[in-house]
Amino acid sequence: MKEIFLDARNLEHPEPLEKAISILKHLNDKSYFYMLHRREPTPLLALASEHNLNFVSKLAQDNNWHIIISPKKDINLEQFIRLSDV
Amino acid sequence: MFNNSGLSMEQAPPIKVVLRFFLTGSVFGIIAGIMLFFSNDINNIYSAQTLIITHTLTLGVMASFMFGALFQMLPVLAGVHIKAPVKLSIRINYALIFGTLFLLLAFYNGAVINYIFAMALLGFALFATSYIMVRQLLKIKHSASSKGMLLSLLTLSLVAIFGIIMLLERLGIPIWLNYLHLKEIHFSFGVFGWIAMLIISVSFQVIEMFYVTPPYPKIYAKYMPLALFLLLLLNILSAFFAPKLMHFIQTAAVLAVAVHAVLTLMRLKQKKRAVTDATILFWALAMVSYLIFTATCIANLFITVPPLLTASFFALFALGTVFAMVYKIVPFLVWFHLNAQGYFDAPMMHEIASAKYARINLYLFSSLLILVIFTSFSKFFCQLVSIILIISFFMLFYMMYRGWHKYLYVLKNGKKFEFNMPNL
Repeated sequence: MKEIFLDARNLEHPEPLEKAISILKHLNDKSYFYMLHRREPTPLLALASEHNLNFVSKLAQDNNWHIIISPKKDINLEQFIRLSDV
Repeated sequence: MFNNSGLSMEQAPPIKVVLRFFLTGSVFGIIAGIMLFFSNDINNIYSAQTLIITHTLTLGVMASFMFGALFQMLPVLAGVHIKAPVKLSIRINYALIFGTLFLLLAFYNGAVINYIFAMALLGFALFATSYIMVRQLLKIKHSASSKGMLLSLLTLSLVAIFGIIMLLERLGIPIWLNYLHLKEIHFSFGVFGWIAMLIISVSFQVIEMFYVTPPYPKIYAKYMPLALFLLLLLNILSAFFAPKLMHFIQTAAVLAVAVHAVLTLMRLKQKKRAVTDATILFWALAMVSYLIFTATCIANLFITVPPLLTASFFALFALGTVFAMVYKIVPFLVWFHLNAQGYFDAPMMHEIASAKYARINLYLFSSLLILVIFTSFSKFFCQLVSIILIISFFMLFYMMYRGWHKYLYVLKNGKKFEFNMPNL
């Protein structure tokens, strides 16, 4: 699976969402989107849910959120999460 | 953590819910400007004109924008579920519009029927909003921001109760309370409890989120709204038992909010990115206005400061925050709602409010910071301020109208995409 990574921790609202949506439009079954964010991006996750995308979000100990989204349904996205080494 | 949970776009209200209130607020802003242009007794705090313009700004403008912001922010930021937001917002919006108009008419001609309609409609708009939102807010796990919103909504009910009691007294119904003390309580709850506390609570959430700043100190954010609320309750008690203390308590409330203005300015200065857009400057302008308002309140302890001057700086604080929020939120909502529905040709945010357009509005609005100083002394400056106010609100209205128009156009003519279709 190809990872498309976005570190949105220092981006001002609404840049993270703008960039994320632009990336989501180009995802396919062989790729997933990995985003690091200082907050849980509720609107993005709601949008992913609305469009039946597969997604997961986790809070790391350093208080950053790790979000993974993919159109591929039959895959456990948690396996791609790197809570410590990003 | 969300993990393909039941999270849904339905959590965010339809864009028309928010725009309805925001457009109403802008129209009332234009009306307030027109009334200010023709006023000739605005320096007299007891005049009907002053009452009319004050309530046009507080109810017509501020309450409209604040209700719109709450309808948007409570579900999205606090996870509060508001049932049937479209129906509810229409009812509250109309009750607020007509209630405000009846109140203004009542202040103008003193007709009993206008007072009765004003009390009924405004009572419904303010209590219904407060009751429905507070009830939902009591069900959630709180952040500093949502706790502050809860307290400010509770305060809104108290503002309405004291306002209605005062209207009853104006109708000649005896209430056995000192009218001037009632007025002080109504004023301090409205200004510091409802308006300032809501701005404080919203800023806890949006300053850090929008501008990547350090967060407000945790202890401060946790206790500030509660401390302000307790101060205002103490103000009621002192009205009954120790009226001489009211002045000190109100000064403490003024200073408490001034601490917030300083902390906000510090945060804006510490923001991580060098880019500064108009909305940040609107926030900064609002906070500087509040600090000048504080200075005039302190000066008033020693010398006589024209009340219009003090009130004007508070108005700039409240309105500056409104402009900051609206220029940030509306283009985002138009873009986001269209994207969420899968429209390819959703306009970009800068196509709805360009940086240049927002800056022109900012410069116009900033000029008020200087011009209001002279309004107490010259009718010319008062009229100049009113013209700038009218243009500023018209620009805000036009930006939102254009955004709404583009939204409808894309809904009708736009091409849809599917996120999960490979290689689009």
